[in-house]
Amino acid sequence: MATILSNEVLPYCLRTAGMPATELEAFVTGLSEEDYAGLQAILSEQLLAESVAGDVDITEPRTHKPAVFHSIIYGGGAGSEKRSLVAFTFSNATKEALFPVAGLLIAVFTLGHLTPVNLPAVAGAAKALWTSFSVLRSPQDDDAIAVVRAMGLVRAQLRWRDLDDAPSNAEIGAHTMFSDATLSAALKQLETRKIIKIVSWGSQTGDYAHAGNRWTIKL
Amino acid sequence: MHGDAYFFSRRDEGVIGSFHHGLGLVEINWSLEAIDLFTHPEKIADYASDHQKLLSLLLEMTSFIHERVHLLDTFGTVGGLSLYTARLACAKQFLDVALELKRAGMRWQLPLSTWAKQADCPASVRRLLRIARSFRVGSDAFLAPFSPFGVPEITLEPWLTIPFHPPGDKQRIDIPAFPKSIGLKSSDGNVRPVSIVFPVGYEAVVEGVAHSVARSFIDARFSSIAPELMTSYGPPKQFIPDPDHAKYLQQVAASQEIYNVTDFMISKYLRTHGIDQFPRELVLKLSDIALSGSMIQLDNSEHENTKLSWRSPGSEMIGSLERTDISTPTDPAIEYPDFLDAGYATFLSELKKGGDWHTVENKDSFLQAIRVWESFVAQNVTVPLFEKRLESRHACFYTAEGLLELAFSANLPMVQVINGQLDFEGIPDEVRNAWGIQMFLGEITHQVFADSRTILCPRRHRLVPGMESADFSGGHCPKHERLGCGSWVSGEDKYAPPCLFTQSLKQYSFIPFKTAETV
Repeated sequence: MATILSNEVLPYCLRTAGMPATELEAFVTGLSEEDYAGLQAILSEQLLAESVAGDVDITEPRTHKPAVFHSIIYGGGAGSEKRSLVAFTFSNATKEALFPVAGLLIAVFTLGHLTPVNLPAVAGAAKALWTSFSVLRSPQDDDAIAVVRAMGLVRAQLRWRDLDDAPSNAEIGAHTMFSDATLSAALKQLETRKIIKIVSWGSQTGDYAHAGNRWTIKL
Repeated sequence: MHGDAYFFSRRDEGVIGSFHHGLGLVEINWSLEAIDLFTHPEKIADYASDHQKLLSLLLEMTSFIHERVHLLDTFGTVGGLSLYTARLACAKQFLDVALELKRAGMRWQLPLSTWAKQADCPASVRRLLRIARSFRVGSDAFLAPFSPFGVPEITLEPWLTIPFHPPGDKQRIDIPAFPKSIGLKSSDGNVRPVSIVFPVGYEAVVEGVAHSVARSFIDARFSSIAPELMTSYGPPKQFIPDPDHAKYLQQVAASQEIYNVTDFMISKYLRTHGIDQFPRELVLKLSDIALSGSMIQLDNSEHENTKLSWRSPGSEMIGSLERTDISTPTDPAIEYPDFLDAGYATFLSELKKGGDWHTVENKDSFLQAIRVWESFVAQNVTVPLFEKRLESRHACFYTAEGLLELAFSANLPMVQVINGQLDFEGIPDEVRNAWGIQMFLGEITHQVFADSRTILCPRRHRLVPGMESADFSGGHCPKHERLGCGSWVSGEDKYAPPCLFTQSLKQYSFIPFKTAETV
């Protein structure tokens, strides 16, 4: 089981989800202090919730004794720099595998829309996304997982090029190498599960196979 | 190695200075206002109506003296030097085991106590665990870094002993302690006599010295300031009496500072012998004798049976007091035992034989950094201090004037952090590099000895003051921090960029030496 320190959550998610090294570096070094801290806080918040559910252990990293992680978002952000470092360790392998992908999605799709004021709202929306996403299971949902992961990586590349576009079927397909039929089925499944939503249809509404469809995550 | 081997000077709103014993590092945080008062003492009149503000500024101003006096006691007394040397000895023990693992193609498995129970654990690792445990117990007994506690009665005794039972150990160690009698106002309005019991070890002795010298400096520089102002460290504390008297007593005890404990203990002893007043120099002299007669030592002569021995500074101080001729009530005659003169002379002679840092074999080797630093400190800090001590027949260590002279004018090489900026004074570049490498080694050893499962980078996790102003990755530390650097967890593959932390992890066999960086 991987151990993630509370100040490493964001880069851990991006790296583990497969973001290439050069993009990862550009992404995290391009963030403002506030955005970096905000994303770390939102992702840590999900792990805090998982600890309540018993799927994540929170410990003091050196002693490995149980520790308390004080919510940054709901516990007063101003004093967040005084929070002690904790280690998160998943005790649920499925969630451990899914969390980096969810972290990638949350990071790349919320970036640019974070403010100190809306941090609790974004964290709440991220929690809803994680709740929907974390029920996916391997191997039956592998295609859907691959599609959202590709959406995250494409969105990161778009942002790197200063484009605020949503990933298209064509871009997602290029990443996953899925056939139109497989991609359509996965997108439909993700939409039904309220993990993604359509931004714009390439042609007719409901034509899931169209290369010009653009998708975002449901936050 | 010991987590409490940092001596902090505090004011209510934060740390104004600290001395990191194991690193010999001075940290000072002072405001422009305090510096201004230091350079323009006539401005003291501006604060006549605000005693709290004045006290805060004086503490800030004297933190420079306070922390440098700690440095002098570390490298200029046998007790201080033995503690520093014992820490280095522990780091060398760790280094030896790390190299053995590297030669065998093995990696560390932490926590040490868990690995030691497994069949594949090398005997040297088990031995290292024993050393770690011994050092923790010994340094606790030597430093006595325990919190004061309250007792609902008073005693006329000037000192007593309190039992220390090391965790997981059957032995009992007697720690000298000072019972301070106070009246504690209860919620019913009655004042009850109680004692606050302060453990007296290295920590209490050196804090007493540093605070005493700082007070002498203030007395000399600002004649208008009432001597009582600096009696306590910080403004008087206000408490609301709790109906639970026992709980209230412990709250009050926990808030007590140790800066005057040795002064109070000596006062109480002398009062019982009819001496109500004594010169401040007496505290300094007794403290220096105690620090000179105490020691902590890792004895590695029997390879399989490393022993740690110590003589407590608190016990040494009490012994000196008991031996003091107090037949002349106004002038207690205290002399340094002859063996201390001889001991310092022998130490000095032995140190001088050691050679300076550039004589260290393979001095440019990563693994020799600790020896480079050790030699540099020995020849350039301790030798001059011991020489001055012997030349002055110890006076430079038992008079406030002598200690202030050393603190201000000794031109000793120093690693210090002023307002967050790491600064090397009088230290050549090669030795600075050695300092960095041995600092990482020391911090990693500390974490291994603390039975940690995780190793944290001192820079990334700000384990040492001034780290934000230092870079150990060719200017890329901030970028690597964003990318999630700075930790090693047993059995996991973590992000390891090219930097001193990664290099240390490789050299000490935490991660394979020749793998490509994981990005």
